[in-house]
This record gives sequence, structure tokens and C-alpha cells, in this order.
Amino acid sequence: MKIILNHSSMVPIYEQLINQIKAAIARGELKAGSALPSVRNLAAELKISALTVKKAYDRLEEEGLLVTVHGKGSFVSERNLGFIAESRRHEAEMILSEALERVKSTGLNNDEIRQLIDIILED
Amino acid sequence: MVKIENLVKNYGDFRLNISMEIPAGTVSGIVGRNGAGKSTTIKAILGLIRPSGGSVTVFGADAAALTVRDRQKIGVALPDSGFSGYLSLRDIIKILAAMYPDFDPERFCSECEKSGLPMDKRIREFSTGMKAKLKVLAACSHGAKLLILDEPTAGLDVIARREVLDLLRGYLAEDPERSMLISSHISSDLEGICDDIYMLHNGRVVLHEETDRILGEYAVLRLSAAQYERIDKEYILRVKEEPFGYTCLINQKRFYLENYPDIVIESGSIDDMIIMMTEGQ
Amino acid sequence: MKGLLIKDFRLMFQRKRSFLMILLCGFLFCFSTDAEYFVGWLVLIGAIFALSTIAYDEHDNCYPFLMTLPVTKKGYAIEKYVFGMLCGAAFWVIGVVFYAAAAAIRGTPVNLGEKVLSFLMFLLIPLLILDITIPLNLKFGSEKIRLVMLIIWGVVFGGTMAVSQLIPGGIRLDAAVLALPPAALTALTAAVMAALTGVSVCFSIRVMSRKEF
Repeated sequence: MKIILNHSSMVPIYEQLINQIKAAIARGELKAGSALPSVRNLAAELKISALTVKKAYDRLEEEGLLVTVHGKGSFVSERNLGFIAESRRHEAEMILSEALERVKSTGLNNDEIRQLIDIILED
Repeated sequence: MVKIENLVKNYGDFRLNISMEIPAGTVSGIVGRNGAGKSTTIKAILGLIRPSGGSVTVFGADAAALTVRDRQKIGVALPDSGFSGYLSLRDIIKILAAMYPDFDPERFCSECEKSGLPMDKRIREFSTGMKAKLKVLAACSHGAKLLILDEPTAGLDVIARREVLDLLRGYLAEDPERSMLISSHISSDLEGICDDIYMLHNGRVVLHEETDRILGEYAVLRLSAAQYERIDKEYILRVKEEPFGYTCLINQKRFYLENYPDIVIESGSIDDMIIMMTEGQ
Repeated sequence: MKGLLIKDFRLMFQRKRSFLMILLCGFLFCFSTDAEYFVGWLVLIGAIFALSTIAYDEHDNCYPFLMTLPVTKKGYAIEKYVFGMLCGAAFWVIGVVFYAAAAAIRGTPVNLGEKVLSFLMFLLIPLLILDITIPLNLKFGSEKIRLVMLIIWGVVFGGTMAVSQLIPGGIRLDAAVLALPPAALTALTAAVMAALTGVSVCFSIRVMSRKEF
């Protein structure tokens, strides 16, 4: 799992961590059931505080993506790959809806919009 | 592991009055200007000085009454005090072996070698960087559950600082129960290793916050006088007058990012905090 | 305390050159007729060497760090006495051996039996020195009382010389010692030294417990 953090970004570190772990899970880099590095090990590797990593892991656990076994570590939860694909679809849907709203205001009809989308996708 | 309740210490004009707590498995940082009370606090925790009031407990026992066994679980590095300069690494290995039952000589030797510390030279002939590394290595050589480091990276260049911090991170990663208290002037060192930060000023704790909150939710706003008038002041902790208007320390970065997209917002750093907390209103 | 002893021994080893010089001088000294108080002088040197470890501890501002190691303030104080006596005893052994060797080389007949008792008395010298100087050193610091130490050393050294001069020729120290009933003398000396040491150690421990670093 390669995580790259941007310390100068406006996005809080633990959020960046959450997003990147989620992405790694969705990409299949982190397989279901596989172990994540221990909190302290990841913190040492990324050179951030252990509490930050713990926050990220806790949040991921709340969302059902991680399972923490006391004494053993944290593991990617088994049942949620579908959930991630779902949420990515949902996210894509939101972005497209918003974009389409704004495109509609330019006066193009649906067919013209579809043509445009095809052209853009082909690039 | 360490609990300080209303510790009071008087030194002539100076008066220390603080409370803090370092639970097991926590890495805490102390920052502040020179003379703010960082070293005094550390000395009180180590039982080197006696409080004028309040209590300091380490491992549940009074700091002034730390037993030999307690001290075997503590690793210490102080800025201006260490082993006699006339000793060499070989001497120190023998001394540490005699004092700490959990001292691991092979590991210590290999770590020293990795850091380029010569075995037979006297310590007084070491460079500043080598002396600092030795102190930290010695503190981490005997499985201590609690590390207390006062300015461990002072006087070191950037590369050496990073090496020392990596050493500490590695040590802490080995056992999640290990705790550390580290004081430093170099805030960026602390940002990458501490879970929470205590800021001392004039002998009092003026701020105690989790590091990632500081980095994530604290920010500095730079405003013209007009901008300052119209913004919501609820989350402003400190204000400082500037030639261009004002700088403000806030702890709700999100709020200001979302509601005032036009104003200049800089991400929080411990250095900013120190400046604002000491110089701002 | 073991760690402290190792530290102090290793610090002392640094001075091996001066140590060897003294041994050499002393050995040559043994060839003179007043050889026996060389033993006394040597144990004295031993005690002084031991005291310098307190100076070493102060010199690099080692004290604060030392006190965070697994030692108690009480242990630190006691270790100074133990180390001092170990040094004194070691030098004593060397002194006696040198004396015997020198006598053998010179071919002088030596009645070690008589000598041993008086030599044993010499062992009390370092103890006396330590009892007086350790508390002073701990309380006021080696720097401040350097002059005092010099005076003390001078007094003891001069005193031993003076005493041996005052005893008229022919009456040797061992004869004077044997004149008194040995049991009573031993008991008396033991009691006095024990009391003195007791007081000194207690005082040293008190001084260390009060100290802040």
C-alpha cells in the first residue's frame, strides 16, 4: 500500500489517509481479509503521529471497511468491496448530475449532450 | 504513565503551575519559549527537583520516590547532562549492562555502528550530532516503557534530526505500550511524531491539543481591517495586530474555508501557534 | 551500585599514567629505611584517587543525568565510600607487596607478622580520609573545597612524617602498637572508626537526598 500524503494541503491528513486506503481497497490493492500495518508502524513510515493513523482506522472501522481485532491488528473487512464500488458509483452519479445541471443551462438538448459526452470520452 | 496535578515550582521570580497527563502508549510534545518551564517540568517528572506544591506521579508512584526498578523502565536524554566525557562507548556498554537488566548489548552496538559512533573514542571527542545520537540510543537501549527526552535534536542538522526521529519512531513502533515525552524548539520534528502537544508559556499550559487537530483544524488568517470587521469571531483564539491589519489564530479551519473563500488562510503549524499564543491577544 | 562502581573504575583507569608514575616513585622509595610508611602514603593516594571521581561527576555536569539512571541518591553516596575503600585496599595490597619485595631485594630480614598489624592500621587511613572528605565534597562541591582538601592532605602527610620523627629512634611503630593489649586497641579503634564512618555516611546520605539537580 503506497500512501502519499500532502502535508501542505488543506485536506486534513487523516482524511487523506482514509481516502487513499479506501481507494487502495477499491482498486484491489488491499484485498479483503488482508492485514493493515499496525498503527505505530504506519505512523513511523509516514512520519505522522500515531493518533492520526488511529483516527483514520477508527473512521474506516465505523464505515465498515476495517475490522480491528484487539491484540492482532486491523484487517480489511470481508463484506465491503461491493459497498465501495457502490459508493464510487454514487459519487460518480452526484458529479455527473451536478455537471449535467449546469450543462443544461447552456441550452443544449439531450442528444447534443450525449454526443458531446461521447466525444469527450473518446479522448 | 505520567500524571502531573497542579505542579507548582518556584524559582525566585519564576513560578511553574501546570497539570498534564501522559497515558500509556501516548507520545506527547512540550513546546514553548526558553524559560517557559519545559525543562523544569521534565526535571520534576524525573524526580530531579522537588515540587513546591502539587503532585507528580510516574507509573503511579511519586516522582520524588522513584525506585531503581522504576528507573530501569525509563529512558532519559537531557540536553546538557550525560555520561562523563572521559568515558568511551565500551565503558558505557559495561555500565548500562550493569544498570539495566533488559539492556541488549548486541543491538546497542549495531545501532551505534549504524550511526557511525566509534567504540573506543572518548565521548568528549564526539561531534555534537554524535553525542545527541548516543544519548537517544542509550535511552532506547534497555526496553524502557517511558522515554523522556529534553531537546534531543538541539544543535543537529536536518539530516541528523531526521535520523534521530526515525530511531525514535522505530523504537515506539516496537511496542504500542511505550510512551514518550519530548520537548523541542523544532516544531516540525514534533509534528511528525507526537500525538498531542502541550504549549507552555510563563510556567503555565496555554494550549493542549492533539497534533492532527493542530495541523488539520487550526489555521492562521491574515486579514485586512475591513475583513476582520465582517468575519465571524467565534472561533478566533488569538488576534495580533499587523501592519496590514490582523492575523488571527482559529481552530475551525473548515468553517472559515467554506464561508470566507476570499480571505487568506494558512494551515496551522505549531510554530504559528507558538507565535500567536505568546504574542496575540 | 554495580554500574556506578564500573563507571568509577573505568574513569580511574584513565589516569593510569599518573598511577604508574606514583607506583614507580613509591617502589624506589621502598628502598629507603623508612619504607613502611610508604604503605600508608600509598593508601592515601588511593583514597585521593577515589575522591576525584566526585570531581569527574561534577565536571561534565553529569549529576542530573546520573540521577535519572537506576541509582538512588543513597546508593550514590554509599558507592563513593565503597569505591574509596576498594581503591584503598587495592593500593594497600600493592604497598605491602612492594614493601616485602623491596625488603627481599635488599636482603633485610623482615618479620611480616609484626608488620602486618601495623600495616592493617594503615587501612584505616583511607577510611578516615573518606569519612572526612566525602561529605564535604558532596555538600560543597569539589571545586570549592579544593583548598581544604589540599590542606587536609598536607596535614595527614605531614602528620605521619612528624609522628614517625617524634618517636625516638629505635622505637618503631610496630613496637608501640604491640605495647598495648592488642584486643583492647583493636576494639577501641574499630569502635571509633565505626562511629565516625556511621556519622559520615549518614551525613552524606542526607546531603544527597536534599540535593536538587
